Amino acid sequence: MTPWLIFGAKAVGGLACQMGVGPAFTIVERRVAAWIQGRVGPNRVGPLGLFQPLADLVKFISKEQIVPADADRVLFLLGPLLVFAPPIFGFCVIPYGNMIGDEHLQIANLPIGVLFVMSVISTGVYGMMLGGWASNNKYALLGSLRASAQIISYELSLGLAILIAVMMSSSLDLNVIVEQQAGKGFGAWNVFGGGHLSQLPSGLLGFGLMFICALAENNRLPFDLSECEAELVGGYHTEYSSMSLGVFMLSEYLSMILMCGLMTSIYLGGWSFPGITDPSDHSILAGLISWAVFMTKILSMMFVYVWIRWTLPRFKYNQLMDLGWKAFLPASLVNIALLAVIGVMGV
Amino acid sequence: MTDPVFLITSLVAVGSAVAAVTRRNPVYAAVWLLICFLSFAVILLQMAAPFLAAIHVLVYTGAILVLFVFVIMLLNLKDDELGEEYGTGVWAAASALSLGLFGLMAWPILADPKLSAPLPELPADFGSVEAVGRVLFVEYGLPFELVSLLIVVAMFGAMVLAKKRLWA
Repeated sequence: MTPWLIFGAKAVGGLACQMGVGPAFTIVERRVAAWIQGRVGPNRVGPLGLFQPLADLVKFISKEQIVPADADRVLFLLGPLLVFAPPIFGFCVIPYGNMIGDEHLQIANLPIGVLFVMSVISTGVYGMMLGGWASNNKYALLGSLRASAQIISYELSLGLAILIAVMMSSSLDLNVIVEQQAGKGFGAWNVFGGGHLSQLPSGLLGFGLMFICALAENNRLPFDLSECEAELVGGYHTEYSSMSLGVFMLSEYLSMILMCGLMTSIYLGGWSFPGITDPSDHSILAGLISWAVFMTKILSMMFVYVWIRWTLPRFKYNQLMDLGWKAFLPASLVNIALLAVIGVMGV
Repeated sequence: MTDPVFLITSLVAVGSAVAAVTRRNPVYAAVWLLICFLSFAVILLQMAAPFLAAIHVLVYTGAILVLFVFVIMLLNLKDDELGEEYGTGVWAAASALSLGLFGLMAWPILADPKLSAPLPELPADFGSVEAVGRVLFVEYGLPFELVSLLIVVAMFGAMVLAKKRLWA
């Protein structure tokens, strides 16, 4: 096969992980929500309601695209795209399976993969800010201010929590990080200390912090203050209709998938699972199994996202900011110092 | 020098920088500045500095420019609050001044024979995280720590300015 064909196959595979799961997860979210609340949920379109995302898509596309009279037309239409692109871009460096032959199951293998994902995530906030501002609506503006302030506040703790795993693996290459955790049992996962028992507390704390910060980064409950309907109508996408609203909603799921993929890769062993995957086996079947393990991990984490959404009440905004700046930031700094001391002492 | 990717990215960088300066609407100026920063990152990637490129995006577009946009959105100026449009004389003077400054910087670079000679072979790990880290923390360890001290002092300054009652 020519290199371009291989690259194309890898890109299609990577996109399928994200673009396939994203829309499908909207129905999972609604069914799980209904199940938690003791309702039935959408079950009319197709078997078990599984074609509901398709029906939603048709509905979104067939509605009229309305741009408010006083809105800034260019930025208003640019907003959803600026939110949509970064998660897809970031997923390029997530390894979604073991090697097949000599090829990593990863769209682009960068030596600075972790930094790349972080910098891409940090640009995702522009779409929300510009979209909310361009709507020329006070509620949309307030919603976008809240969303962006929350995201840049939690980005600090998120970055520091990612740094914990990077320090344990001493690499920024996501492939290297995953391979170090593969094939050596659960103890080698970075969440359980990356093979050193003395690092176990740092790993657990780092993963916990990262998970909560990821909830806040994705504007998910209990941190979805940017769109709490009781105060702000609908948040930064109040004025959006038709497919541009659909793109906003879809990008929320895409960035959830990116976050879960990143957490899985750097803390939970990526595509590896003791007893199921064999890192030295580079056959096609083993590659598919490792891919299935990776997707199972991502989907389980997203299930926890939904579970949390329908279990915990929403925070107040001052509580959110206090938590981010006064609890998580010091905790992650202490965690880094602790891990550095352990690393220097070499225990 | 005739690399087409470099040519395109540098043209985009210069064009968006000019647009950022000349836009009247501050939000559009910020958007052009965003494009300018991103094209810088691409140029850095081409110069075998991937670490610098990632940090550039992380710090400049992910943090600094977000704060700019934040302030612009909070002020949310109307058209009549933006002040008088500058006359042609001001534009001409500003352009002449910036072109002169550019010439002043470009002239010694172009005149120096050392800089027009072909570059020496770069070490294999040039621009990687390890190489940058070694230079920062080993070779220039003391200056690096002094700079971080400076940043801490600046942070305290910001806190003192922001707090209304310091000991409350």
